[in-house]
Amino acid sequence: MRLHWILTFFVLSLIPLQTWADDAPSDSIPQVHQMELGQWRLGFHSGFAYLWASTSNDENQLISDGADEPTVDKFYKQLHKGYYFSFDVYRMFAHKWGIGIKYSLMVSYAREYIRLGSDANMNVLNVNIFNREYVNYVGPSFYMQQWFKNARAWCLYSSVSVGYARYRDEFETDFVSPYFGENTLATGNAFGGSLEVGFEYFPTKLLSVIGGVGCFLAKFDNLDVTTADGNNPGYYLGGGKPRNVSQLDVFLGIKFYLK
Amino acid sequence: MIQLIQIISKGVIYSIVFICMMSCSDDFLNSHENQTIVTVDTTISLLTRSSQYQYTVNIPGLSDSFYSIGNYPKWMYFDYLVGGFINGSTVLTFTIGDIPETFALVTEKSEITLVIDNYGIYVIEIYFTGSRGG
Repeated sequence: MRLHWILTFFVLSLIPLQTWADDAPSDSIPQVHQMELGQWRLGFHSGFAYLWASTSNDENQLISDGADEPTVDKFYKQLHKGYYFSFDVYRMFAHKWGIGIKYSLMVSYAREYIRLGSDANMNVLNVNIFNREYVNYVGPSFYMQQWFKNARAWCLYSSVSVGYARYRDEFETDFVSPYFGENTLATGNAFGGSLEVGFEYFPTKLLSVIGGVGCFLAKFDNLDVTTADGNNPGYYLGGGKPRNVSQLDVFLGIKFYLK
Repeated sequence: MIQLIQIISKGVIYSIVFICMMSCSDDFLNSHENQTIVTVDTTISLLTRSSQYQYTVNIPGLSDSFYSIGNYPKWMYFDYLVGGFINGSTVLTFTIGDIPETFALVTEKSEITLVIDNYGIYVIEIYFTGSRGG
């Protein structure tokens, strides 16, 4: 349901941009940018990501195995927050739109000292657990740019992209325990998509500074789980279930316009 | 301005490449292989009916180091779950609670795992003797 509302938000957000542009008088388009901006556009963005997919099943599993609930909650809160980086290149075919390639990376870390000891387990375990998640994405992207009326140095932009996403989950403990076993690596591949809207400000015709929000969608149905010891299946926080890494991003960035 | 663009672009690209390289290494899978793992057998007698037990751990040559108790039977109650080795020695102090009826005292082993800084893993395999709740 949340996904549905987010998609709706982004689709609706594109409509007024186009309508506004059509209504804008021609003299409101900043000629200096329209005529002099380079056709090639390179963008670098960095910010924060929030993974909104629920991890309550995984949390409940740990809690039922005797883990302290506040500790588990703290661990997964860390894992829901990440860092977002992206890089894109566009060839502008008009002052309003261009086509290019987008690459993005989301990195999320969690670390906690956790205590486990359920009735079913004869041992009490105190162990440091580390989890690192990486989501790499690359895909073709469509870019739109609309100038503000009477604001020659500002514009709104949006982009839509569909492509290839790769997930990597590294789970590590500080020693081999009966519960967690060996360190575990889970990887997966899937289709993904991203939507992005933001403001763009031009201090010069060669570069702009941007701020925006984005939405990334990807779900990995099949994960390959490996350990250093092939005979030991190890432990994977998701338990081998599909992993939804869809996320909301907030970022700042800089874009270069080259001839 | 062009130079500034080139410098910023290189910096950002190198940063992304660095992060990507970090996210491609599988070395963490083998991090346990570098740990020293020492396992010793011992037997703890419950016949003394002591309210508090002590077990001395000696590791010759070990410099002063901190440790934490990573794994232990749930019927053992340690005074401290962290501590330090001085001159290669430390004392574990604990009490014994109710041992489950399903646990065969002298044939089934339990383990205490010490995670020792700058050393590795020290596993004490324990067999209990005596009567339950001793």
